[in-house]
Amino acid sequence: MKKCALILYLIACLALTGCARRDAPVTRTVFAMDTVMNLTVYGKNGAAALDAAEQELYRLDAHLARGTEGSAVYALNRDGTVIDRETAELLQTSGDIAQATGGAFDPTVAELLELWGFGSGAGEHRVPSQEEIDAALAHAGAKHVHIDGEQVILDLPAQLDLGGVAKGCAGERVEEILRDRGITGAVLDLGGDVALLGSKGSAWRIAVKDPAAEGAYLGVLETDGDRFIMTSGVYERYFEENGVRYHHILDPKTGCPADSDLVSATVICADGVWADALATACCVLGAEGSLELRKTAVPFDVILVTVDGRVLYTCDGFAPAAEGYTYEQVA
Amino acid sequence: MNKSPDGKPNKYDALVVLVVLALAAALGARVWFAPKSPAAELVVSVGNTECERIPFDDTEREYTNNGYTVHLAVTPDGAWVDHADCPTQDCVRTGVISRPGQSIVCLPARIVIAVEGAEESGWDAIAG
Repeated sequence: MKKCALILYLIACLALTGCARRDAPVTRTVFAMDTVMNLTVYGKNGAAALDAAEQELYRLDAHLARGTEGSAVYALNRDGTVIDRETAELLQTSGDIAQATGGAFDPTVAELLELWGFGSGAGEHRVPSQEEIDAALAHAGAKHVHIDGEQVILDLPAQLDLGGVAKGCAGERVEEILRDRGITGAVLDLGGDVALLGSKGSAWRIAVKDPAAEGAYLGVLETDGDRFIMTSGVYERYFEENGVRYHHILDPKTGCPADSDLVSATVICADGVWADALATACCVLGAEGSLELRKTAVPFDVILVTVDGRVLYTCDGFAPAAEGYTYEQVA
Repeated sequence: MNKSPDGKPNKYDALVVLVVLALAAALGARVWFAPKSPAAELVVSVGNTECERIPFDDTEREYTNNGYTVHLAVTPDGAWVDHADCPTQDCVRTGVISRPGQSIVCLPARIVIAVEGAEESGWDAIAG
């Protein structure tokens, strides 16, 4: 009888192997925050959860865009004060990051961005004079932002730009909404910045773009869920004048495009806002500064691409794939 | 059921092995003879709506949305936006796409042209 039972057990095991059926993933494309986003969710009621996620992205886009009349940031830049819990919390975190990065990330570079033509006003790209840069630097700095409970006070004429944390904030808020609606796994492609929620039954595999070649990849990162993978690079938004390339990542200390040894920085972190801002800060700080920052800031991993063709990475789950680079896993 | 007195395999053990092997062969055959995935194709979405799937053959398409027009060129080797009247021109600068997971996005026109099908890309998203 035992053998009969064993046979039945084996048959049952084999037959049921294919029965662990999961709900098919549901995807949604959303145009928000000046990019196209692709949201994929696993779990029951995916479509309804995505409806809520999409609405939240539109709401945050309108709430955080400084160029949108009626947004909290627009009001703050105009009036110098706003009472809004969400904005206060985001600016509190932004201030913490500014301090942790020694000012390499700064949410008050709006005026400088406008000068260079990278702002929300869609102005012409141009190289501003040193006098203009100095004037804008005089009222930049996180020290001009004061938070008292839900009230934010900005020392005008300082101007805020939350573009450096908006997608990280959006990723966190959307994940919260999806979790509340019973979604067990999600991959949110927020225009090249990725937020991972929970699990799809196996490890997430995220390809990391090669900043030097369209359609090529530095490698694939295999990771658990609840991670944010945010990238900043000098290769996406730029202009050229008199043969010199000027990119959009400004060094808050000089007011000019960051002149570090990095082409791109990908940050992997459990916190979306930190991940987003740290990616920018790393591009400003350079390879050595970024690795130093890992010792003092919140826990995070990096994949750094240097101008001399090195890829420095600190994470175990990264499998290099591109030719022409020297890969080095560092502490 | 008889038990082998000396612990050696008997006909019942052989039966277990045969059943397991037969099932394994059946499962293997199912995978082996499963229909192949379709060839790679371009999926064009305008706004949030998929509007067309195009095979990689020599052809051209023009899409207008949100006040802007995007002209798509397709060959068996790839597809690209050869001209567009959008202000950013990011879609034109993207260049040729041909592999699953790659896409061309025109934000002002809200048009996405993505490669799907053939083989799985092997990843869940692209960072960067």
